[in-house]
Amino acid sequence: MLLPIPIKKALRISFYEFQAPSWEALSWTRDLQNFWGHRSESHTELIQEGRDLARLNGAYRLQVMENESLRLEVSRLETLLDLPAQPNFRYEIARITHRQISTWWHEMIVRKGRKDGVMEGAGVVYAGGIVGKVQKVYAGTSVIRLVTSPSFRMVATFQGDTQPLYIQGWQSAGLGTPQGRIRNVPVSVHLSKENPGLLVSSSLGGVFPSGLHLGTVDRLEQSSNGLFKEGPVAFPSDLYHLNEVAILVPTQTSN
Amino acid sequence: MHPRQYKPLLIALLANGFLSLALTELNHHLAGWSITLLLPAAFVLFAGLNLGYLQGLIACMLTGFLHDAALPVPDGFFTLALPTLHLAFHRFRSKLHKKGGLGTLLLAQFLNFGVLILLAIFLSYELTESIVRHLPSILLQVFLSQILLFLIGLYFLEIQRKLVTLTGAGFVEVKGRST
Repeated sequence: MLLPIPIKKALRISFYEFQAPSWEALSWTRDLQNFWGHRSESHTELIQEGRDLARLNGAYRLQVMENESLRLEVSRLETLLDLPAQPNFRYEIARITHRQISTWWHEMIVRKGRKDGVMEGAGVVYAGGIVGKVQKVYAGTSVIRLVTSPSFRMVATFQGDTQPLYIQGWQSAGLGTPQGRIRNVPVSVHLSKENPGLLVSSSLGGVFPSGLHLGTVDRLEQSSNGLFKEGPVAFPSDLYHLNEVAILVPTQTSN
Repeated sequence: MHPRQYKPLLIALLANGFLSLALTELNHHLAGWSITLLLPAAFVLFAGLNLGYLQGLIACMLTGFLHDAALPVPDGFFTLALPTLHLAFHRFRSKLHKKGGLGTLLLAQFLNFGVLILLAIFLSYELTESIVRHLPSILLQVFLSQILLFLIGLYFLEIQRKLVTLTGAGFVEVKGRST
């Protein structure tokens, strides 16, 4: 507390890097335990899982083809209308070494760092939507600030709408309920439990591609300034149980 | 100083590192319920009761640095808190059993509670709502931390003492009651 900031920073980084390999080892051990756990599964179970995966692969292959044709269409329209190109991302898959989630902090540490091209501020996603942003990058690990962290902010929209809204993480008083808060919602929007709003990411911030699932809102109230509405956002419940995420590493566009 | 005399310090540092790693793993699994357990007092039990003042201080400071680097706490919080706890144990060590006992356990519980409450006060400015709304979850985390300390505190101390005996390193002779 009394030391100059550069010394404090150097000490923090040194001691972090010193213990990072032990966290990685812990994570590898967990993976190994999983591996041996699956080794004991019967052949029938493995055949069933393989069949399910083959079906999923088939469906995803179709979606990839569809996405490719849509991407080409977007690219053609961008050229035609002389629009700036949308940011492109490379998905860097990262295993989670450990999670640190409590009333005070909402973060995860992953096994990918500077040497893998991860940069501070990069978006982090998973199959269910958005996880957060990279807060700090170290040599072989990175700290991810979760979307539920009060210091996390991003632009979002309701699905099928273009009006930009503002999302902030929110400390939930309940245990294990990922929560956020949506602000700047126009007063004309009415939501209820029967008619909830689905929030998706917007590419306005340049960190996330648009259309990624964020959470749902089923209640809105008048904000203190009276001009907009705001309300609680329920993020997917599996957000606090993730083992693997994908970091969005921006790639250079050809244009 | 003979190199053999550094063995207890190395054992204290290694043991603290392992406990820190075990807590990280436990908190990883508890994260699904938004719970984090912290046991600052457990890290100073051995150093405070069985090491010389300087060696204990070094062990506590290094452990504090490790904690500060690993957790998103205010800069230097554990680097100051652990040596302070060590000082408290050192101050009362003449009245405590070196192997633990009820007095040690009560002091550890009291100091652990104090540090957790202090940390809660330090971090309360980050809350998005009134602290009253979060009080049940904060108190639950403190309560679980205290229970864990009660369960493992003295075992952890005994393991370190056993390791010192096994490695043939002697304890620093200080005023204190032996059981």
